[in-house]
Parts: sequence; structure tokens; C-alpha cells
Amino acid sequence: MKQPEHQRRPDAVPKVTGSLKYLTDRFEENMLIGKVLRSEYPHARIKRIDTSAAKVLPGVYAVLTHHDVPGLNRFGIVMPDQPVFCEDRVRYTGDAIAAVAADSKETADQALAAVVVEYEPLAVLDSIGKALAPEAEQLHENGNILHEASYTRGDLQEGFTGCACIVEEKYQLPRQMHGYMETEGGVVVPESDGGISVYMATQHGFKDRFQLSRILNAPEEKIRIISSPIGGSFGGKDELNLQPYGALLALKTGHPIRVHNTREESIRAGLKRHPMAITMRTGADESGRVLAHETTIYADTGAYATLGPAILDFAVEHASGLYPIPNITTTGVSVFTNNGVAGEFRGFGGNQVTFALEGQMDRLAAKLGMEGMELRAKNMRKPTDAGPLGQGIAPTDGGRNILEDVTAWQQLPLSNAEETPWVKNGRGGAVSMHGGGLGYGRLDPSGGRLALTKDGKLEAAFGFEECGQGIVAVIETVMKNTFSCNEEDIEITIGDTNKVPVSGSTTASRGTSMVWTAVENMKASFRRQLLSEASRVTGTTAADLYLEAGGIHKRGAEPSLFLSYRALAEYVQDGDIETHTSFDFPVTPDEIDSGHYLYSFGGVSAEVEVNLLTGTVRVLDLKQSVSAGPVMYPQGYRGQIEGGGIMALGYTLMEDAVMNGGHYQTENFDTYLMPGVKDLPDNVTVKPREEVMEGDIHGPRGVGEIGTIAVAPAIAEAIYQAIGARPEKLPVSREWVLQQIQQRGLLPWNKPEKIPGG
Amino acid sequence: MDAAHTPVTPVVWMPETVQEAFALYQDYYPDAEWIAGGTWRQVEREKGRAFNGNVIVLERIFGLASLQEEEKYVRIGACMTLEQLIEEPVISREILGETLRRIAAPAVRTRGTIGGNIMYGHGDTLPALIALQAELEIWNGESYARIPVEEAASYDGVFLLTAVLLPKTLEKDPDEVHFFEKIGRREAFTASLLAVSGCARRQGDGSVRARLALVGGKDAPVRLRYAEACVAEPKWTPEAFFEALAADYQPEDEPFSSGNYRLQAAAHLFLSHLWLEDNAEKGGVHKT
Repeated sequence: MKQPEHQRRPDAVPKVTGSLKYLTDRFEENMLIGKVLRSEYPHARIKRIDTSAAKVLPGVYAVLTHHDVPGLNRFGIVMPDQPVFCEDRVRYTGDAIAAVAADSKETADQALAAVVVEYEPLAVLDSIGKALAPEAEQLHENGNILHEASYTRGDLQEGFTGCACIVEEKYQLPRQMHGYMETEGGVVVPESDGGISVYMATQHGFKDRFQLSRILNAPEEKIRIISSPIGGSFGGKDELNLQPYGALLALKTGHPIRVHNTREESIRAGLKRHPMAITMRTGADESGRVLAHETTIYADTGAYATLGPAILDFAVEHASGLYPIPNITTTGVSVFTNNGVAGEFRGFGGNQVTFALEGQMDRLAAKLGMEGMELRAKNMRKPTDAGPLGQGIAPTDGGRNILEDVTAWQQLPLSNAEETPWVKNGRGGAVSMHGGGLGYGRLDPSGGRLALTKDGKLEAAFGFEECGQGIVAVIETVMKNTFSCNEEDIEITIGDTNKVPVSGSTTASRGTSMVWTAVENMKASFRRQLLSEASRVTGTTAADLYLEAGGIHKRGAEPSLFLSYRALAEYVQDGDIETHTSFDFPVTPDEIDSGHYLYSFGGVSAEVEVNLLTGTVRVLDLKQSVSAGPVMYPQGYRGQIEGGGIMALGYTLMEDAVMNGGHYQTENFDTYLMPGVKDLPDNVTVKPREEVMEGDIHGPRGVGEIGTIAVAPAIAEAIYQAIGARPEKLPVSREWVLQQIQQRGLLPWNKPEKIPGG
Repeated sequence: MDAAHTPVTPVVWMPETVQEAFALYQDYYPDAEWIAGGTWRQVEREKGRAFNGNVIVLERIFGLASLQEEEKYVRIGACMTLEQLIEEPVISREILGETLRRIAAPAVRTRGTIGGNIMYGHGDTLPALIALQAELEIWNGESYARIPVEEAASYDGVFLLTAVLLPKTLEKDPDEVHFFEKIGRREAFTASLLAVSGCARRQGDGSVRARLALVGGKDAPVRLRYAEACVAEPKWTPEAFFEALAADYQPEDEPFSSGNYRLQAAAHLFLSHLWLEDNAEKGGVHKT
């Protein structure tokens, strides 16, 4: 790594000391409290909505329903199908029916309770099977299928005919919750020009502005989105959540409105990771060459679309991952149900399908009598191979690099050395490949701006959001590297649609990559502008000047600092020294919809300890090798991979937002459990593989997602190595593990037939 | 509107004697409740169970927050916090100390009391206290009384728990085994799915004199008398132990664990202490 290992991130002190004000901490004079009434039923017709009693309560300023939406009563990033307020039907318990503004939370709660909604409950389609049954009620105009996607190459039948060994398995993946610390919310302020300022988190301010303008029937210029800093998002705040209600209430009442979900409201209305059922059939010849691979994916997308179609496309694309298998058929169906809405979540469909794919590789290897890593090596893509959809991609040897590390790690001795009673240890490994950016055929613009401010700062402005991932540290580092300046010389502007250029969404592992590219595009022009203005002001030839800490330095001078940025700023007008760039995220030259061009690679080795008495699985060691180009900000890089690994550990061993009959059974963090500090591995290793192919011009790839992808299959294989049973369902329950232990007679006394109920 | 959001402001009483606390409760019953650390009650409130109109706080009552060592037992005031007890050497070195260290998280242990852990009905301390043959000192409105821990749930009448009387256990000799084991849905800061505890002394003939207890999920604690009787036989077997345990304990399925899982896991945990150690030549196969 080029950077020092420990470098304080710009937002470290305010975050650690608690002085940082989040948008949900914001307070305005005359502010009212907004609350949203959500459906009692997962599926029902609305017979009647009566707000009259609520409206006359003292302290209530407004009660809104679908009648009060001036524009489109719908939202949704790709297809606006989710009602801001339901008119005549509810499709999940997060559906909004009314919103109130009142002078206190208690009054707002009373007003919600006073809204009368008469429902006619309908049959609840709480599973994919029920939603696809011929007699099922149609949840949307076009039926209960949100999206279908497929990919075929070669001849599957013929491929399987040549196989000496075939494995088939059905994998089940749970509904994971993002679990950000800060729930959705913020403040919306009505402005004197009739516009609004929306102080609420999002991963794409301009997209929120566009969606709100459609709802409010107001020009985008009248809407300002201030959206950073954010207390965690992981994809969960990409779609609109409370913004429409805050905005409508602010415009109606003329008061600033504070809306902020409780944890229960957040769970009920918010997005989750798609539960998926994935069937894979994979075959290889005797030498281990995989010849045929068939995948069927069913995704429970819940009541509304958001980015469900793109997530399914992503899963279909990554179904064969790093292996250029000659004969492939992949089909995917994303199905509307009356469950909670599933949508954007770190990994974006790659986590689910990679668990299945890598599970297949381990099953196949075992059946062939090979080591898992040997089978992977035999089938690993070469640097110039096409992408998984046959599309041209930026050449990369990332797959082989990370596999090399994982293969070596598999040889490490187990840590318990057979000493601890009642436990068995095992180690497993898995690899993954993950596309960055939105993919071919999708608008994916980016850009940035550099300027010298009136205060003599080098301003770097981007339309990205800081949701804890460390984009401000990346921007600072890239600026320091490029212009040899200090932290004090830099001013970072993000998260305000009135101040930032279009950079695209803060999603899809694109932030770091786009910041680096933008600065690369602008650096020559910006440096030239600074030096030529300095030359003009000082009468010194520009060739004798260079940029370094504090400002313009002169060759041969002692001290070398010749003209500080602050001094330079006094001689120039605002905007004199400013440069912009706009460009698109690089895409494949081939016309293959949704196909990616830049990929990162992640390899994982996990050691687990299985308690034979209780079925408890503890991850002792988690090593990740990551190929994503050069590292920009080492601490942030490690944080993303370690944090992603822990998030995936939770996905593998404990996290599931259980629903029953369309109702969440896990309504808070006392029942929805995420890993705590004691669940973390004793040892965590992050190994960046920074090498790229000769001539690669794309710089760093983002690492926001890659650390979450291959963890689950590595842990599953480690469990198999420990107890001889292969998990096909996540999270791996203690109960299932204990059953496997008992069935295999791994305890001295547990002869299965002798155990009542065993 | 659910009850959690009902704007009720209860009257908070802060009595200074046990008798006063008891009288207040009787005066306002049924619209009254006692509260100690309030850690569990706060979670319940979040879930929608509002406070009663009169909340009687016990923390100012003299004598409920101290520990005294008597000749044969330690008297633990019911309002001692879990953290205070962890810091007492006489407690921390015993299995009760291990139990306390594994409850919830530091913030909860700093506030939560041993009395609260007992009286909410399925606290993790219960099986350990039963195994250790602890008694409860209670005030029933007329007099102080002592009752075994396992009888608290079925006590006839209202009482206020004032202290836990923990017998001073002798230094362990090689034949004496005390244990506590807990399973939650993660390693820490989680309600237990199952907590088991036992005090066992093996006899020369292969039998074990044991006091065994468990608490699982939302079940009340169970003293495992059939299981105790089983291992008291000189030639007891694991199979017989499974049957005896199943007679003692018939757990229901719960949202995050089946009854069968808790039964099986409990059996394994007990056997790991009772059987294998006594019959090393039969088992000893901790790993293959």
C-alpha cells in the first residue's frame, strides 16, 4: 500500500466525540412532528378513510391522504409503482395511508390513532408459491411477476451429456436487514420562494430531487436535497422513504417538519435483502472441467419494485461467476408478494447466487475427490476471458490472484490443535467476482468539480454521499496524492444538490473509482489554472512554480512556499480557477444489457469452531484477499472488507427478518440479531492484491460490496469440514447443526435411535 | 394506538422501608408495580406494555443493596446490581459469578439487579441459584420468610423479595463439579434460549449426587428431579438420562428455537459434565 497504514479520516474526531450532527439531529424553530400511518394488513382493500376526527384534535396541523398529492402519487427509482399514499388497496404492512403533522410526537400519535381506515382483508400472498398460483390475486396491473431474466450459452443438454459427475442442490437465502444505526428521517424546511430544503439521507440526492419533483408537481430547482452525513445505509436508503411525507407536510403546513422512523417503523416499511430460492445443477468431466451449469432463481421482491429488476439481472449475470463454463442456462424470476419490500442491499444479488455457485463447486469437488481450490483453479477465468454474460470486460487476473491466496490459506493448521473438548474445527474457502457500476444500458453518469475557493481552499465537489463508508477520506487522499497538498488545503463539498455536480449514485461500488477518475480527468487543467494564475499574479514564469503543501512553491527558493492558496485567492475572482468533468462509468463495448465491465474479486478463508453439544458455530478466523486495483485509503479499504465480512457473518449464521403471514416477527434488535463484538472472529486478515493488468487505465475499483460476497460459502464449507454436513439454507441454525451432529453420531453418547425426539 | 405510545405518566413512589413498599403496593393494587433496575421492564415497555399507574421504586430501601457474609451463607440484598455482585470475590469465584458475567451487556449489568433477574421469571441466575441450593428471603406483609428459589413461582400470596441467601459452598474437591452453561442466539447480549446449571458430587460407585436445574426460553425454571434421581443410580446410562430429562422438561416451540432443540442441547450440556468425566474410558472421544 502506498498510503500510511493509519491516517485519520476527516470525519473521525466529530464522529468519535459525538459532536457530528446528523440530519436526524436537526432542529428548526416552529418545527412540527410528522408521522405516517401504515397498513394494519399485509393485503386488503381500503373501503374507507376518514380523517375528520384526527384533523380536529388540538395541536394537529395537517392530516394528509392520497387526495393531497399534487403530482404523481407513486415512487420507485426504476418504475414508480409504490403509492405515496394508498388509494384503495394495501399490499404490505409498510404501505402508507395517511400522514399527520402535529406539535408533538404524542399528539401526532393520537392523530394517527384517530384516523379511521376500514379494510376488507384479502388473501395474503406471503410466499412465491402463493403469488404464482393461478388463482392468486394480481398484486399489480401486470400480474405478480415483477421481472424475468435469463442467460443462455452453448447447449446445456449436450453439456450435461459429457459430464462424469453432476451435483444438484436447492439453496435458500434469508431476508437480511441493513441494520443501520440511524433510522430513516430528517427535517424538511419550506423555503420563502415556495420551494423546500430536504435534510434527509439518501444515496443519490439528484434522484431524490427528481422523484420528489414528480410527486410534488414542482420544478426540480425548487427542491434542495441535503443528504450527508448519514448514519449507515448499505443500500437501504437508496430508495425514497420518508421524504415524500416530510415534503408534503411541510408544504401543507408552512412549518419545518421532522420525520424520523422508530426502529419498528423502519423495519416495517424499509427495504431488505431479497430472499431467494436458487436451484443449481452443475456438471463436470472426470478431470474436473465444469461443462454445464443450470441455475433457476426465484426472488421474493415483496410488494413493490424499487431496484428488484436490476438485482435479479445482477444475480443472473453472476450465476457462473469466475468460471467460463461453456454451457449455461440461467433463469430468474422476481415475484411480487405481500411481504416486506426487498431491494437494494450491499452485494446486490451477488451474495445469494455466489453462496449457491460456490456451494456447487465444493459439492462437485467432493464428488470428484478433488480439493475445492483445485477444482476452482481448473475452471478459473483467464485475464482476457469474456465476462459472465459473454461481454467484453476490462482484462483482469484478479480471480487467479485471490484464488492463490485462498488456496494457500486452506493449508494452514486448525487453531485448536485438537485440545478443546466438545468442539470440532473446520476451514473452508470461497471466491467471488463482482461487477461495479450499474451495467450496460443504464444511465450511469459521473463527474466532479475542482475549484479554488474564496478562502483559499482547494475545493473538491462530488455528488456522492458519506454514509460511513469513508468517501470523504477517499476524496481527501486522492487530492493529497494528486496535488501534494495538506488536509488543511482541501475543502470537500458533498451531499447538497445546490452545491455539487452530478456524480451519479453512491452505490454499486462506484464512489472510489469515480472520484479517482474525475480527479485524473481534471488534474492537469486544475494545476495549469493554479500555476498560470500564480504566474500572472507574481510575475514569475509558471515553469518555476509547482504545487505543494500550503500553496504554490518556487523551485530553488528557501523556504519554497512562494504564494499560499489563501493569498492566491485574494487575487482572483470566485470561479476563475475552476474545472469540471463529466463522464460515464465505463461499460462493456458489447451490447449486452446489464453486463458489467469493471470487476472486483474477493477470496475468503474461514475457520469455524462447531460446538458439538449445542450446535453453536463460531467463526475464529476470517481472511479475505481482494483484487480491486490500487488501494486509495488503506483504513477505509480494510474497514469495508472487515465490516463487509462481519455483515456477511451475520447473514450466514444469525440474521433473518422472519415474516409470518406478511407480518414481521422480528420487530426490533432484540429479536433480529446481528453479530455483537463477541461474535467476531479472533483473527481478521485483509490482503489487498493491488496488481492490475499492464495498460489498465481504470485505477481503483470500489470495495463497498466485495467483502460481503464469498463469506457465506466459505463458512458453509468450513462447517462441512468440521462436521460433515453441508448447509444449503442460511442462516445456518444451531438447531440444524445439532441435528447433523446427532445424525452423524459425533457425540460419544448420541446414538440417534436412543435419543427421544432426536 | 398501542400502549407504548399512550401518554401515561405514572406516579413514582420511592419508599425507604420494605414495609412501606409493600403497603404502597397493596394500597394501589392492581394499578401498581414494583421496579428495581428496570432493565427488563424497559424492554417490555418498548414492546407496548405500559407502566401501571403507580411505580414503586425499590432502590432506596435500606438494606436491599448490600451483601453480608454470615457463618453458613451469604446474604445478598435483592437490589444489588449484577455488576456489584460480579465485583464481590465471594460471588465471582463461584458459578453464580459466571452466570452474572454472561447476562446481557455491561450497561444492563450496571443497572439490573439480582432480585429483578429472579422475579421476572426466567432469568439466567435461576438455575444456578437452584443448583446452589439458595433460598429467598421474602416479606409477605406480615413477616419475613425463607423459601427455596424453585418455589418462588408457585408461592401462594404476594411477597416482596428482600434477599438471596446463598450457602457458602465448600472449596471444590476433585469429585465435586459445579457448572453453568448458557446458549443464546449469539455469544452475548441476548436472551438465553437455554441456561443449565448443576452441582454434582460423584460417589465411588459411579452414581452422582446432583442438584440440576435449567431455564429455557420463556419457560419457568425447572429443578430436574427425575434427572437427579437417574444419575443417583450406580449404573445410570446416557439413554436413561435422556428419558429422565424428557420427563422433567417438556419445552414448547418458540419463534427462535424448537422445544426439541432445547431438550437435546440441555441433555448434551448436562451429560458433558456428568457422564463423560465419570466415564472417561467410555467416551473421551471429544474429537475424531
